[in-house]
Amino acid sequence: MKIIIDGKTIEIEGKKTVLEAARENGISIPSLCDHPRLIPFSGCRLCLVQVKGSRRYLPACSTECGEGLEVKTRTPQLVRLRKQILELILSEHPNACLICTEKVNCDDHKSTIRKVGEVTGCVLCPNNGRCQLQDIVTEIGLESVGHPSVYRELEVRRSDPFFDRNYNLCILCGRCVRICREVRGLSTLTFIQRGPNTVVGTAMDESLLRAGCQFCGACVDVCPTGALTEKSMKYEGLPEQTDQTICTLCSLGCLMDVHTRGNRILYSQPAANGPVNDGQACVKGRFFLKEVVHNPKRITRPMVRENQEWVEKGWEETLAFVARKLKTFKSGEMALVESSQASCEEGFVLRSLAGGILKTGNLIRPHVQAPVSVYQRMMDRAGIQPGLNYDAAAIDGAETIVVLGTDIAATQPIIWLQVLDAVKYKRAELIVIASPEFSFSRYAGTWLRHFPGSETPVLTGISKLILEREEEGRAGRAAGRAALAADLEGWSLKDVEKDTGLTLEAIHKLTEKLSSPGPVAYLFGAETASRPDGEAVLTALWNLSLQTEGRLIPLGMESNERGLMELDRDGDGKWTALEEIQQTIKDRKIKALYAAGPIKLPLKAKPQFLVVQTPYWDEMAEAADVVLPTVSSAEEDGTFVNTGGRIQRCTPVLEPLGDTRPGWWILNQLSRKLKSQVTEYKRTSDIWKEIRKEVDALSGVTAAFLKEGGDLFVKESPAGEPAYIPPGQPGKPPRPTKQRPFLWLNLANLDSYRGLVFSREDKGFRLFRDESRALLHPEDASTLELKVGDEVILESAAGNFSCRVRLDDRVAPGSVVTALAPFRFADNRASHVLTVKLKRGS
Amino acid sequence: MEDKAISHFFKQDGAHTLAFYLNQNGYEQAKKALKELTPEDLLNQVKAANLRGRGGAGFPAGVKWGFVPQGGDKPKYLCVNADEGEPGTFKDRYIMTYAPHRLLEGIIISCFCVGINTAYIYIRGEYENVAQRLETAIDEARAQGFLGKNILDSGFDLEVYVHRGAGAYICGEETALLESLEGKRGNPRLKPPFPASIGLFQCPTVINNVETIANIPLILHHGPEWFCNQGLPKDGGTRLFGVSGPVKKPGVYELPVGASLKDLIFTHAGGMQDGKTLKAVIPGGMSAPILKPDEIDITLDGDSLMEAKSMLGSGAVIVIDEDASMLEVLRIVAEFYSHESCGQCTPCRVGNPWIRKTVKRMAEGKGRRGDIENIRRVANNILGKTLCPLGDAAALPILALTEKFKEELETSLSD
Ligand SMILES: Cc1cc2nc3c(=O)[nH]c(=O)nc-3n(C[C@H](O)[C@H](O)[C@H](O)COP(=O)(O)O)c2cc1C
Ligand code: SF4
Ligand code: SF4
Ligand code: SF4
Ligand code: SF4
Ligand code: FES
Repeated sequence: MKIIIDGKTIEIEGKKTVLEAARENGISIPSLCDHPRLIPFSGCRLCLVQVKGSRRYLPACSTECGEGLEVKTRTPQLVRLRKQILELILSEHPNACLICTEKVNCDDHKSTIRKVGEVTGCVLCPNNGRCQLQDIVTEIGLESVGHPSVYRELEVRRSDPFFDRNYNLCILCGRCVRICREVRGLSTLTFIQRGPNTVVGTAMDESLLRAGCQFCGACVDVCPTGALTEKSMKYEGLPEQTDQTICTLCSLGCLMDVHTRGNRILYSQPAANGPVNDGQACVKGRFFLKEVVHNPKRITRPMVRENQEWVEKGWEETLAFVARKLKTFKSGEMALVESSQASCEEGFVLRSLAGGILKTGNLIRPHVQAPVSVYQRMMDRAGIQPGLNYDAAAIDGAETIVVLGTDIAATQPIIWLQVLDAVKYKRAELIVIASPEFSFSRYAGTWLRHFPGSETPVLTGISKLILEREEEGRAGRAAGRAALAADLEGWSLKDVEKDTGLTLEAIHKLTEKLSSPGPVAYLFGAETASRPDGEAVLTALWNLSLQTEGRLIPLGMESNERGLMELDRDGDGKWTALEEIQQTIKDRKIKALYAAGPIKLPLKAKPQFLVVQTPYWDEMAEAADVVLPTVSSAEEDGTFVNTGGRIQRCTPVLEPLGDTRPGWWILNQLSRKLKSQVTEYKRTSDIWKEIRKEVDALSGVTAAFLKEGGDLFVKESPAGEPAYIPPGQPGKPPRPTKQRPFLWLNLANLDSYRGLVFSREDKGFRLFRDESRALLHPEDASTLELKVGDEVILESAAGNFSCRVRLDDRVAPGSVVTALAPFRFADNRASHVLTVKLKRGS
Repeated sequence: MEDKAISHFFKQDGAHTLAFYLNQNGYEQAKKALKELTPEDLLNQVKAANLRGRGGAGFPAGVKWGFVPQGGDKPKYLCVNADEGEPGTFKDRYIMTYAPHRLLEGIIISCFCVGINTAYIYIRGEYENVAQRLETAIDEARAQGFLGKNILDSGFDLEVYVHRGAGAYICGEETALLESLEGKRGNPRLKPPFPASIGLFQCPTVINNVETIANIPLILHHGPEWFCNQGLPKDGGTRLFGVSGPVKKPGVYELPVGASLKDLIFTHAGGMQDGKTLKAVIPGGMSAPILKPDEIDITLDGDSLMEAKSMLGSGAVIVIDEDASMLEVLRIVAEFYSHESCGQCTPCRVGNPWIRKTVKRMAEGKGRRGDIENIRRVANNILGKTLCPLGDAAALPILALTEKFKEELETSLSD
């Protein structure tokens, strides 16, 4: 299609607005309310253009191109009009600096005057120098404002965590309102009042916290002014440099733009070109990356305990000491711990150290409990390789999306956005199977609230109903249907209502939906897979997926669990369980422990020699004999594989803080001290030369990829015919007892990095998502005479846990919901369903 | 007297009851439509009648209905615009108060014609009594089988709901009305897409004024030709004019489209009250540019008022006498639009309050030379540049007032 802009003929393809067409062809039309991710709004009216044949001026941002369209963007009338509209905008915005004739000179002298509460001009504004409104004023070339300007004197909102809202700077472009609604699916922000009193705010003018904000920061990033600013940027100047790296705070790996000055991160923003995150991120990547890096608990020098005193030492001396000590133990007396937040390189060197040098099988690998590992092991045993890799297309193509038991909007917020997009704009149907009501449940066409822990009977019930309906066409896909029917022969639906709390009718209805044609995506997380009965649930889910054109999508937890799993995939499949090691340490059979990842031990069980390799000072470091400080997230130089099998590079955006080192370097140097023939690795590509040889799945990681990146996935070749897996007898789900009258559901908590628990570190994070809170239904709380903020002790078979009460009518009566930080449970499983007694704390 | 006028039932006791309406051959046209006519027949009749919308914009109703795609798997909706927010307008209230069943009959026929099974009447919140009356009428009609499932055994289903507005003028604008009806803030939508293809709940939707719909049974009863002959060839039927101001007999008058404005004021409304002289007339609700006495020898139809650079709008004729201060009129106009702007787009949100502030200052005796020019400059920046027609509705009367009464307004400026 051809259109003409300012006399220039332009060839365009597909549906485009005039503004998009102009931009792509280097013609600039001033615009403020438009944003590539948002549905056109056309409120600011700056982009008005003249279109041949139209009497009115038309906004370029919402006028679609049509064959032969003739547009003028810079006639004298338009130039004048734009100035006048901008004047109107600026009459409600501090404008003295914007039109000040001295503004160029001023730039050199304004470094310290920013520290005031009220922003009455750019020099006092945290957005100064990175402000789109400033750019527009320059572009349009406005030199005066013909109206008396008003300062709206709105109270600056500072009570919420992470960012402040100063609506005196707001120009009402509505981008924040729209990104929250259109992209994040939340509508936390909205316009309130009207006419001259119009402002952006929340329903009932509540705080963001109470209005359901997820603190994703999307609104902050689209705001063209300084109205929304990150708290920590209030008194900062401009960044000097921006580099990209991936966020390693969850298993997805969003690409981030990290803005730095000196060797310090000022802030991080999701990169618009992020292959997995498409310009979005979550509270952790957006606001917590820099907290993770510049944390007061960071350790910056190797330390050795000498006569009960900590002594800072150099690397050479420290590692030589560690090597000397380790040589004094027998293989079987040593154990190692890894972190699923470590890179593939670190994991590889650690494995060489454990197996090849220390010759011990005692390596604790937390990834074995990750949903993807549990799934892979189960399929392996059944002789099927279903293909574990997935990306957004797997969700985009589904007509029905089932979310099983996980608060996906909190645990995998970006994958949730993909689900949301499919549901909101592509008419996919969302089915939620979960006891608590989650923030996203309102998008569900069907929500089954079953008793916590009764997933197996729910899913088996559906399977059984489908079998009964004899849907040959669909069920015939996989082998062994008759065997499944036979296996479920003895399993009757008669108890299903009693066991699950659902009516048969509800299960029937869902069965109907799932058996209608069209691909189904089943999303599950640690809440099901990592539970002690995880494999039983997954078996039922797998069988159901074969009956319904379904596909299982494991959601992850930690940044490199998939990568480390791939390193172990060709091994013997054996590993040492955490409990086992803990027991052997207690029994004094393990005498030396090298903890390259978080672990928790009772202090009295401390082994003879304890080495802790960590970025942060914590209880374990406190108890150690040697502490080896590593780099953290954004200083990391390494390769990570996300749960969907995408291989991504984490490139350091900072020099390692202090004397810290990447984990792989430390482990390699130590190995060389233990065994001199070990090759020295200078850079990560040296390690990849070996990984490539040994691990076929990761053999695609070439030198070119390490340098330039690219779309690369784990190599896999699905094998084995999809077949039903014998479900066995589903066990009885837990039901409350007299002694323990409540059902306690602990959801996965992903808010920590290498032992650093965010809600313990940061008050803002705590206000938003506190790991120690226990959600109770208000009626239960009132029966127990518990109030918000009270301490409550959860007495269960897994021990007693202290929590703070929070009332939430979205949890089912008779149940308690928590998301405790890692290591609160001795077995460190991410999720549990237990019967409990609730007791008031002191 | 035969039922040949919209105002036939006005001010008659009990006219709002079903019994009364049935007595007057009520619902006969609906029966005819459902049993004897096809939707195509109906659409042709409405088109042939040249019935123009009575809500303000004067768009031909038949053409609008024709834009709705036929068939399709989405439901379709009718929204009857009973927001009646335009200052000076009070005609729809009369229809709903005295002839709710005629409106319902019009709704039934319109919905059958377009293939709609759900209709909403969006009524301004202040009309609580009227809303209750409509609800009673709906109950009566349903009990009699005129609404609900399988109406009169025709296989046609229709439900009608009354929805109360919450007091925002902008919610009378058709797309803001849709947002409001969906439970959202009443912000106008961008057009295109037009409601006929993507309207309420993203489904095809017809929006018509109360009076427009109430005309439908008459068209069916007496034929489109009769209807056309009542008014002008391209603008058929009669219109309800609500006359207010210092005339002897203010009220609602039904006159053929094309009647004389002068006649309306001086004959039907009884002329000016004793001792009052005519100073100006706003001919179509507050959004319509004001006319001076020498401009009112004009026929009341869309085209001729457009020629006079004003508009017929909602047919609300506001009469202003010599005792009134034009500065005060300007102040009221500016105040109103500033208050009622939805706040979505810059020129209207910032421009109107700016004008309001300036006029207020002038009214306080602190006007300065250049104020009027500045007002006109800002109004010109609103005109044609806003997202929805409210911008024009504000700018046009302000531009007319400051042009036609410039001298009087200037007397309030200090130097
Ligand atoms: C600001 C504004 C307010 C309006 N208020 C009303 C109203 O109160 N009642 C009405 O019928 N139309 C009103 N309209 C016109 C409607 O947008 C729409 O054109 C009309 O309801 C269509 O019906 P009709 O074609 O039958 O006239 C308003 C328009 C604008 C721009
Ligand atoms: S938001 Fe932008 S234009 Fe406004 S004061 Fe801040 S830097 Fe200046
Ligand atoms: S931070 Fe995210 S959730 Fe909160 S208001 Fe902004 S866009 Fe909405
Ligand atoms: S806060 Fe920022 S993004 Fe939101 S409307 Fe105001 S200027 Fe636009
Ligand atoms: S013209 Fe006024 S009422 Fe219409 S969209 Fe703009 S601000 Fe809202
Ligand atoms: S960018 Fe088009 S109106 Fe704001």
